[in-house]
Amino acid sequence: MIVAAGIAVLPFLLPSYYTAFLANVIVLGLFALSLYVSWSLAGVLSFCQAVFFGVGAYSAAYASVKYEGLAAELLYPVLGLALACALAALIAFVASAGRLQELMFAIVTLVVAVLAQIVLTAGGDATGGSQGFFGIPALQLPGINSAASAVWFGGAIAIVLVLLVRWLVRSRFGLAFSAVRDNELRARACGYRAGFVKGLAFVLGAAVACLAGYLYARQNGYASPDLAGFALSANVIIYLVLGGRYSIWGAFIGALLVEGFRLELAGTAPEIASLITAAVFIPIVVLFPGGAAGMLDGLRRRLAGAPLLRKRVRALGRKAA
Amino acid sequence: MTTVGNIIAAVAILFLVAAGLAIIFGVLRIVNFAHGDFVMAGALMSAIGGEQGLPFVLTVVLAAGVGAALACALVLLGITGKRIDAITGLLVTWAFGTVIRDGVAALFGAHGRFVATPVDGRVEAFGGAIPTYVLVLGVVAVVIAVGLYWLFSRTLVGKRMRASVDDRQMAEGVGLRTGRIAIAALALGGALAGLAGALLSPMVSVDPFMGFSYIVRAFLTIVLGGLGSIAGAGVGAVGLGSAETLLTTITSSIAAQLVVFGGVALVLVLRSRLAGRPS
Repeated sequence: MIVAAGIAVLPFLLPSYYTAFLANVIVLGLFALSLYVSWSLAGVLSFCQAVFFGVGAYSAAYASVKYEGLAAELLYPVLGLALACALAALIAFVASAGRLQELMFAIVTLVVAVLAQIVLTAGGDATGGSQGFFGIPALQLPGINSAASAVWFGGAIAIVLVLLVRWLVRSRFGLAFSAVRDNELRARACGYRAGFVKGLAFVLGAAVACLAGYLYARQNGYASPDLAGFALSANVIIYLVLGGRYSIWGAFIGALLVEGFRLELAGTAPEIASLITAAVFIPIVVLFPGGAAGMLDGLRRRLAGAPLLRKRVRALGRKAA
Repeated sequence: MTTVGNIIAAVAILFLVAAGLAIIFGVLRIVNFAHGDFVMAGALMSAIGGEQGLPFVLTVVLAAGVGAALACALVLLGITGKRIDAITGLLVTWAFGTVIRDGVAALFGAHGRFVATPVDGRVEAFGGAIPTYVLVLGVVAVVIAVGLYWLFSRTLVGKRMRASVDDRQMAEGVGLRTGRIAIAALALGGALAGLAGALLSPMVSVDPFMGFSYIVRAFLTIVLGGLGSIAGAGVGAVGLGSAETLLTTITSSIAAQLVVFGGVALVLVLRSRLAGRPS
């Protein structure tokens, strides 16, 4: 509720520059949420999350720049979503058929991300080459400026998805996800088809990433091969790890922290921002796998004398059983 | 350069990079994502050494030292610790690589550098003129391959490492200090990466971001050849290096990368399918 109210009110309070920044944070947080679904829920770490993001971004370009009209506006985002899901299903199928372990899967997805960027760069007219597409019109509510519209659109979608994912965590599917994540062998022995469960989480994550990519392209006006490459995929991992991968809000907190920090240093020293982000990342991932959300939660719960979030998520799973 | 020359150069470099990666993976069970940046550091050492007027052979040795030192720095990040699993190790080494890359870009600039070829001239061989340097490179790679074989089959250090690869707990049980073995493996792997970078430097433009393409290929090489095995790294390097170079000559580098990367992913899947190991 507080978040919803904040999103509704903030565009009136912030200067437009920061409203645009907020819109991007929401969309990138949404993007990180896609990794939360596959990695945090089902233990599937992917280095190609940006490929699905890129598919979403290019679908926005196809819908508005390459083709025009209402039919294209409606058709291409749906096709993009279908393509992202199909691609994820294919990768998951191959991985499941090859019985890839977590580590091998990460490396295969890394290769997919590299390939996607190569394909998009070499795609000629179909993908706009290394430039991609420019001038994608923003989604605009009548009478309201584009940044505020973007915040409301993105915010509304983010809230709906957060609620959906929360529901998912508590559902039987969420239970299967955590069973496979925590002990795949035991889950298999209990009769879960681990390959299918992980594949499902991966496909759901891909769908969320595709949606985020579509929104990102709409509010930033472009779709380029960078949006589908390895660097952005890695960025999302940074958001989620720093923000906290055991918490659904970690995705958004991470995006806000990292992007805010980059914005601070963007004018003076962009490489230093990346350097410091990576340097901070190391102790966090080793010592505080809960990230910022985990630290906040740990603090709150230590004060209240309640169990930590990570344990609480597992307890939630047990309750749902 | 002729195709044969290109293949020799690609395979030699790929083997050196992948062998280091395989050694580190074998002992630590961690895929070293910073390996490409160790290669870059070695190449940069060679470039800066060249600018300072140091002889090439000396810069190669220094580059190996730089690679080994960077790899040992991973120990300080707790990479040999018990709480680091495969995925955490991947993330930590990746972030470490980013730190190296951005640090180098901030300290030494992000521009490309060139290194003069230490050995001039061409040799008529295999039906074309191959640069002498490429032949030297091939010989060095073969010598190192033989040296690694000797190290792992004939020396106590190598045998201890192999024991640690095969069964770490058992190795600890019979009194081997696996922590030290892990550091030795890191140093060896890092030295190979730095060496590969320095040897590579006369053939490419040296910049802070050059490591990525090597790490991707090296990953695929050890995946192709079987994780953690040096012989596998050799076989994988020959397969991947020659296939990509040939396809690049016949078609284009983009098509070659698509076919080769896709092909390796397929091999990976088929192999574990055929092996039928339960996961």
